[in-house]
Amino acid sequence: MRHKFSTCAFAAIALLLVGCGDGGGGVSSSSTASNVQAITVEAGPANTTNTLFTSVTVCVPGGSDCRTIDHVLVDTGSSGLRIMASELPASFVLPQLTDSGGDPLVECTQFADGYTWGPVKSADVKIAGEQAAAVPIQMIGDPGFAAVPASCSSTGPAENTVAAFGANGVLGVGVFMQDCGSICAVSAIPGFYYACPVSGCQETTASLERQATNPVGLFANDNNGVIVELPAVPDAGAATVTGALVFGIGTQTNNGLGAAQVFKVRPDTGRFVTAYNNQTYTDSLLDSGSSAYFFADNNIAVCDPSDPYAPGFYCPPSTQDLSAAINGTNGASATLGFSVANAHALVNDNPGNVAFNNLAAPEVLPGGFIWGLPAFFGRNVYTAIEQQNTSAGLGPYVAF
Amino acid sequence: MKTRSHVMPLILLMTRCLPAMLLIATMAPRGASATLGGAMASVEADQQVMNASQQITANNAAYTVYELQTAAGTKIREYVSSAGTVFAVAWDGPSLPDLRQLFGSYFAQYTEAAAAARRGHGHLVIRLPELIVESSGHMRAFFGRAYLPKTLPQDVTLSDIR
Repeated sequence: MRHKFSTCAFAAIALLLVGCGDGGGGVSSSSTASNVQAITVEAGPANTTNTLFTSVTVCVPGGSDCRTIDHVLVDTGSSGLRIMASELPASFVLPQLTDSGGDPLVECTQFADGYTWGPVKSADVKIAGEQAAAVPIQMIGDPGFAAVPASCSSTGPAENTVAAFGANGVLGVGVFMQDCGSICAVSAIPGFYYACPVSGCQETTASLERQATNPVGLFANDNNGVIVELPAVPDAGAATVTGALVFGIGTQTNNGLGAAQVFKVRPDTGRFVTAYNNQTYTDSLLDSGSSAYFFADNNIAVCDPSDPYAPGFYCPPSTQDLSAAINGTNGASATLGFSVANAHALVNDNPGNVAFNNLAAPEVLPGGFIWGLPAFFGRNVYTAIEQQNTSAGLGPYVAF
Repeated sequence: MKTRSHVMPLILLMTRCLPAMLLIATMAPRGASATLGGAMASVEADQQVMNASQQITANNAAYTVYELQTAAGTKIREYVSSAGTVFAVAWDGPSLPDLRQLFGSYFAQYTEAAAAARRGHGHLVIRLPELIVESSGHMRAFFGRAYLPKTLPQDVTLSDIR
């Protein structure tokens, strides 16, 4: 209950300070601007490390019946809003979207570590002072669609509860507008979208307008991207870190690019190139939803697979100070320094701390170099949405 | 409209060795893949279940690699030892493959271990005595591999499985 208390206390303080009555449910940490939403790294509902949370308000479209869900994962590596049905009362009913044949549209969302299953519903989404109307969102674990088709459950373990998923939902604010994109609009692919009449579910196509959609791209204002702003953390980590999720890039006085460097990313995968140790990694990503740096380096010792704290993470005898270069498809390049601590010692020696800037693990993707949440501490990281215009041209790109 | 995906026309993929090309030319066009740990005898099962096209991409003394491509564009490589056993599978592409089909009897172990070993939604590493699974990526760009460490042929290194 600790996290619930702190969220409430925080909201109460913010209300006192700014007298905010916009109904958006947002809380501003560093500013009273309507495009600023508080974000927090803390243990959260599943006691996890390096997990970035925020609150999101969903409403019946066009109505005033709204609910605010706390501890929603902020993920620049995915697109679309997904909420655990368990976090909403059964009496709160959002309209069900249908496929082109008129049957209920239900989604199987694939993650590398499992899948979420649930209907696509329509909701007005409010975050800070921003609003998006009739956004397709996924309601994970909705009891109305309890039976999971075999072609969905065949992709891995289920993550349809707060405990299994590690959060009350996920706010995907990545570079894409939709989670799947055009391939799901033209092909009925196993493991993505399903039409689910009472007789059972079958793979179906889902037009772009019906796919789970990045709510930021549908905001009335400040809709071309986000900035994740997190302060630096000490080498021993922190129990709680508070920052800001700022909406829009170059649309307000508080979200300009300033001196930030723009790195265009591949339009099909959202990836860019990282150069490390004289090797080129072509599947690189700035991902607030990944808890660590993930990259391959055979010279760094790995914690025991059965380590109780950090199984399989990097465990060098002493902290390694490293650097790697990010290269955008536009030719922009920047070298970033980062540290890799002994993950076992880090967790063992700092009980209660769950925000670390020096946690790393081996990457299995041959071309993968993932700049996870540790890379976000002490930076303002911009994520520009595909096909949206910004002061630095069209997305998709990342900048910092 | 509820359409099932259709078999894509066989797409000629980059092949790494000439013998493989020759084999394709001379082999009957039958699927040649099987479940992890299974025998070659269960040919065509994976290909049919996943509506995939299929092709040999490597063939040497230690093993043969059969590459499938699903309708979604995900490539699956199955590593078959010279004794005829599937000892590894790897995949990359926009969607995850049918892991229940690929893992066979190991799928239940995999899902149970995965639920206990979470480290964020972009990565998964499972290390059991008989099964190693490494999975990475996000929708539109996944990669992963699984292998049976006790059945790896002698001349195979892990960097070969990708």
